[in-house]
Amino acid sequence: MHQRNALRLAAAAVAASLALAACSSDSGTSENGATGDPAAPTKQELNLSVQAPTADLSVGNFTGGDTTIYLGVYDRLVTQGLAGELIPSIAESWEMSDDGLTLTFYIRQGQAFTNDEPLDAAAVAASLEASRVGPGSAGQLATIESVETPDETTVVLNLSRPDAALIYQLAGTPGVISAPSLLGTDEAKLNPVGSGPYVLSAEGTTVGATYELIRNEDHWNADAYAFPTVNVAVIEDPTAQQNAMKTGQLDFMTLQSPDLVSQFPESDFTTGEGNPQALGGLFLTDREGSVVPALADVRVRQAINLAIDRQTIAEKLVPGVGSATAQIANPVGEAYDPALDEVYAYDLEAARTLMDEAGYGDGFSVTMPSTVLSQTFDTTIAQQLSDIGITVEYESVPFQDLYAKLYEGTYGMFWFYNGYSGSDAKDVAQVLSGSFNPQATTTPELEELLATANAAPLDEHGEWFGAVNEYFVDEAWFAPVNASTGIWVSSNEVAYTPPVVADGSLLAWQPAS
Amino acid sequence: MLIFILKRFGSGLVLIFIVTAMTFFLTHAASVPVAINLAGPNATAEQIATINAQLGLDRPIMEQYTSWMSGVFQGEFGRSYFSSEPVGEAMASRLPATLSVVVLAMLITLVVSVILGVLAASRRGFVDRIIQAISTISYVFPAIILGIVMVFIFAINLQWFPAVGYTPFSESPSEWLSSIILPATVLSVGGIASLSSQIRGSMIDELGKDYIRTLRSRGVSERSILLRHALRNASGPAFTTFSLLFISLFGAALFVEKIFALPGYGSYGYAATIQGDLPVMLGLTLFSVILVVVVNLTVDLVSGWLNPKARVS
Repeated sequence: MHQRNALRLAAAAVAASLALAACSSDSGTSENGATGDPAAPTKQELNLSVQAPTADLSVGNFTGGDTTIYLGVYDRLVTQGLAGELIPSIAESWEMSDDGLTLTFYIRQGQAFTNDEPLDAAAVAASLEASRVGPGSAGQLATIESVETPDETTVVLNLSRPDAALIYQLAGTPGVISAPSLLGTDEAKLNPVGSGPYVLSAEGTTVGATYELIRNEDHWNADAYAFPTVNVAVIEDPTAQQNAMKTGQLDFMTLQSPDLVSQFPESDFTTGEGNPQALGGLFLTDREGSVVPALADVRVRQAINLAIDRQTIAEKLVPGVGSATAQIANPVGEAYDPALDEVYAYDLEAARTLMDEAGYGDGFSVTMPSTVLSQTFDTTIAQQLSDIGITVEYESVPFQDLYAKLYEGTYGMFWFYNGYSGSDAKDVAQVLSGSFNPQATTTPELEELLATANAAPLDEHGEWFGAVNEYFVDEAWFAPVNASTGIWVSSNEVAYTPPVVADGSLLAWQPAS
Repeated sequence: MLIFILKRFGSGLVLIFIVTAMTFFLTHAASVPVAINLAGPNATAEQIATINAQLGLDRPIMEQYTSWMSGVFQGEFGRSYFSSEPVGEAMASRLPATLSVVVLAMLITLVVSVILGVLAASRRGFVDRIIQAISTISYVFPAIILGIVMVFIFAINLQWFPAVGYTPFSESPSEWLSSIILPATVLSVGGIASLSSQIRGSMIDELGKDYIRTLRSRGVSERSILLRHALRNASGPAFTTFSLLFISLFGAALFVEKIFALPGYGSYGYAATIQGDLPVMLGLTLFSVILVVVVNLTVDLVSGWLNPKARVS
């Protein structure tokens, strides 16, 4: 489920990036100022940019775009730290019942929204109720059956079934908590009021162009956010981002290719490789064989996996931005198993044998969409599949038409980049939803594995979702190719820590010491 | 004259109706899946249906169009599907950036074209050939390349101007000027080529006429002949070219706004078209048609003032 962010995915395709960069809304030079206190941070403003901001800033309506502003303004009950760990936020603690059907949060006392409305259990419940019906979050919170507030500091979520991904959903965009008076108003679409570490300044903001975030000094963890002001400029064009970076208008951006690193000399910039951001590969969604009958046979899907030379693709087509992988789990997650990457080591003979056994020794034809996400790989994939008799015909599809075609199940298989969510449970949920599983395919074995994994205690998720991950590999539900990372560059005035969660918090940036 | 203006006003209204209706129905025919794009690849069918209902996209097409049109008569242009911003406010907030760049580009175009055109027409020979060569090169030289080169030299290397962004005049006049000089210069290149050629040609025609010889025989200074007499008489056709340039520059602003990340009409319209953001597309279409009608009317009126023979009865 989730991270439905077309542009972020597109960016991931091109760069596997966070699509964050920076640009000041003023003359372009950063303010380095002396505060008189030698211990105080010297840099007062952080200048970031996004390719597309969140479309609608109100609760329940997150339907795409970069989350920097959205998650800067709104706090959640719980958030994810830079390493992906769950950390207390509005709630100072939480507990899951043994049967996995009741999730209870205990709210930190004395909190308020930035318009001074009290942040109590009732306020939290009101936002969660809005999210449960909002088009941007209803799907992610579908397992919440009811929300109760036994007292001012306790919020109880009753679930229809155990859902391991839920707490991670609540740590992201579906879990944002707004001032109750703004819920359901048009005002909240553009001028949200939350209790997050920053407040969106109406004066410093031009919707769709530049956004100014002012630190919320009353936030429970305000001291951790080093920059009093964060400017977020919308810069769609990567070249324009690079230009802004070079002139000091930006403090950070991700690069489309490692080749660009040479343009940013060490004397002025710091560069590095981020955590894996997105999984690139073939999604073999027609496991029932409605469009491509051959795909219903697991041997054919396995043959496809064996025929793809992942190492060569990773090294030659997208060098320096990730590594070859044959599984859907995030390489930094607990469900990831390096041994699974060896299951489908490139082996044409074995692939041909499987095709023969499945009755497709003479091969078959398949039509796949060619999009901005796939163009780098189209020729190579077609050539490698042709080695086992599969003829690929590409159909050029504008990106704005792609999702609709995928939802309709137009293609039996297709190349896509899907963003890692920062949670094994969410990653699994994502590849089983929407256009990644248009026919809602499942099996009794998978249902059982999912039920067990979802009911498992938090500290056992790695093991159980690892089993789901292994099932996907064994049954060849996908043909993953590359776990893509992003190359980032920052000015030497800021220190950047790559977060595990792609749409991470503003804690990732601190003044350089 | 009043009847002329009223007629033009009436035909302008008809034009607005036709063009917006065409935009509306053609966009529908293209059927960009707005709700699906908003919801993303992991969305459920229910989420997509909810978005469709929220945006009113589940209503009959005619109902959607009449609803938009009746909103327009009440000064409501709808909200962007993607930013949720009221289209009227969005257009108002983006106009300054585009207008600043276009107006400055017009100014640069006018000054440079007059100098080049007059010099070429009066000096002829070697100077004329050089100026014509410059004009031709600027006509064929892709402005996008020029933009990249100028950013490299003046923003990145010399750091005289910002590489991206727009500073409103109200915030800082000097930074406002600094933020629009490079884009305006890039935008003016194509216009200079056509306008200077126009002025050169008209000036050569004028300078060959009898009254110029008469003025010279009376001892009127060459400077006065060129600027007070020949240039004024040559300015009619040049004015028409110049005015129409104003309209075309709004369209040409698109790539300049992308290179310089300016929050203007070009980048706004481009994104809206790609995404199928119909309220924004209709708002911008409406603005464009009004602009065309007003500029054409102005051209007719000013041409009549400059040249009484061209006046419409």
